[in-house]
Amino acid sequence: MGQVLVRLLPPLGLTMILSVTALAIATPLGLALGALRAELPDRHPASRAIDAWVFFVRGTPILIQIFAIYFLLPKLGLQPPLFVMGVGALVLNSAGYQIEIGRAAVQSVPKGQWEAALALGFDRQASLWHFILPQAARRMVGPVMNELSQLIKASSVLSVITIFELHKAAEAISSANLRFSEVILVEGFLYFVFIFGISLIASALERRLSASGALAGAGSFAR
Amino acid sequence: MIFDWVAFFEYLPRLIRAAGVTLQASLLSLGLACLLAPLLALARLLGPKPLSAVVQGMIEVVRGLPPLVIIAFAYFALPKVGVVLSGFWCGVLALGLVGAVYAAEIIRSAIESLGRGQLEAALALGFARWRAVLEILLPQTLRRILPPLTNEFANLIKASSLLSVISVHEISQVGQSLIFETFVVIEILVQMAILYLIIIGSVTILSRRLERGLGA
Amino acid sequence: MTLLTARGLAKRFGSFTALDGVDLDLNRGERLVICGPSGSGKSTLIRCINRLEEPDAGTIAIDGVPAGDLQALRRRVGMVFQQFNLFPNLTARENIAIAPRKLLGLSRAEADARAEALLDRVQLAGHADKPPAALSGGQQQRVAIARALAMEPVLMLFDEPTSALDPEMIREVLDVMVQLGQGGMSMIVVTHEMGFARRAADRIGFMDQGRIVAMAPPQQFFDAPPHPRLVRFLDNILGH
Repeated sequence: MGQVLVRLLPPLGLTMILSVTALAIATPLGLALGALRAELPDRHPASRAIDAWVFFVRGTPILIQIFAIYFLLPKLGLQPPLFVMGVGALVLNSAGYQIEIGRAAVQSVPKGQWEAALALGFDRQASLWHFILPQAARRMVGPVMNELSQLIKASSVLSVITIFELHKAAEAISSANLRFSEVILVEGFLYFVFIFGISLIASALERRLSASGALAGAGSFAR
Repeated sequence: MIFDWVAFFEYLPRLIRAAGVTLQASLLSLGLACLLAPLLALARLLGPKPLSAVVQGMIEVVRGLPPLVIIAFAYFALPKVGVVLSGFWCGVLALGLVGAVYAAEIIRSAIESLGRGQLEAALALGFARWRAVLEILLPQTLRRILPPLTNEFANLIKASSLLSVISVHEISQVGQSLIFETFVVIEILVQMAILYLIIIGSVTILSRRLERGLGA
Repeated sequence: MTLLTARGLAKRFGSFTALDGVDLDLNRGERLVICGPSGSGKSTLIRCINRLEEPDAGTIAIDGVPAGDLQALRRRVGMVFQQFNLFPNLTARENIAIAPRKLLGLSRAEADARAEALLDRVQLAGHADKPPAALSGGQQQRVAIARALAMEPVLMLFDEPTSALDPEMIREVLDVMVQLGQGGMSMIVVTHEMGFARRAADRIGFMDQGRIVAMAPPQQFFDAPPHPRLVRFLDNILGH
């Protein structure tokens, strides 16, 4: 078991790199598009495009989104490395959820904050940039930490396109030594330690920030 | 990239059959989750300390694992303890368990969000603790938990795509093998996406109706 | 001498008429208090003056020049809100300094110096580095006044500035406002604080159902109320 654990550490590293990279791209993207969506009328073409993205991501399993990237990019003549495809799929998925988080965060900033900024003479765009977005970003801390756990879990599905993250590596090891249950136990232990740890940090952060109106992150199990 | 309608309709029937399997797996695991979830929630809220602690530990473990790992574990570990099931039923068990755990958390937090006042009022009237929870608190939470529960059902449907890794012939598995067999990529991907959107979309619409019907 | 001229201001919310054709003139340096029952249109009136609400009809001119550019208008007109609306993520100093820095092009040092001077003026020297959450309601409202003053407005609007305050803090805010008026600032204050109105106002207006139905200097306003509905209002509010 100890040997398996050691061999799973580098793939665990890859899982973390995939998840954190995707989070680092998807969070600003989600906040920006969420803010845009909150500002634009429903009928605006950009609103329609954002809504379509959210609809597709929430209405299909992440597996389909991974296939879409994996099979369609080559059809378009693009052949990026697997890692890029993996991150791309996670970003496609995560941003789809974070757009809703960002929009909720922007809309949860009290109307008085807008009015104070406008009354000082800031235009709408500057008010959003200087005052509303910084406050919305704080409110997103809880949901974003939660999103990191979701991404770590979701990255396991990248195993289907042979990215050797934690789950794929565990699969490979177990089909070589045929000790399936033991390897899965070790793998599960590694996932659990990280995801549970993140959830502890997240709830501590949420408690500290709840005074300033932070949004609570709601856990959900699959993408 | 030209959309090949002939290929689209040639493979559609096989994917529609696979959608039936997706639906079956989702509904069966939903049923299992609905049976288990209230038991888990009540065990956590009302059970004696050790039971409550064990249930809470189990919930945390399931929440801390990718569903894919739980499905793989059910598939490989159950036969070891003498439970030999088909991939389909292993998957239903695994998804049912995962769904139950998330639903139990929804129920628990809804009951806890009612605050102590409601519980204390019921206790003061002479209700036993378990009757207070079952007869006073639980009915109050129903309208509040239905929307998140239907949302979890949508998640259950999405998660059923993971059963493709243990060779259950649902949408994702059938679509994937068709792509590798025929190299017809776009048409089949579009079909897969549309089938999921239809199934999940109808659950979402149903959930909105329920919400409005209950005035939640 | 006329600073503000408003003519025929009208505003409806759905079927509710908040403003029903209001005319208003304010002289430079004049302190006007507006009172009236809730729903009478007082807040809507001053929110229309800096166009936080867009009036359905009517014109507004400052110094005889029709208010054109929205941001330019708002930079010249300061606003103090009932709920303070300080930016919770910024310190007291930053709350005051940010608009002069971003909108008037002051350097950080200049804007900070202006903020410190204003904090001193509202008796809050030494609180510059505190976030709003660390200040009492009365202190927050004084920071909010300083924030509006930092833009060096020609007119200050106060929308029920003491309604959200505990009784013991109302005084400290009103004192700052009295001083401000004595310093020559033109002000329109929506408030129920009749003591303040008597002490600091040049004129008091009474609004009812979207109109200014009475307008008089304090002495006449209280001693010989020029409108029957005002008599009833004063009876209620002063507990006669």
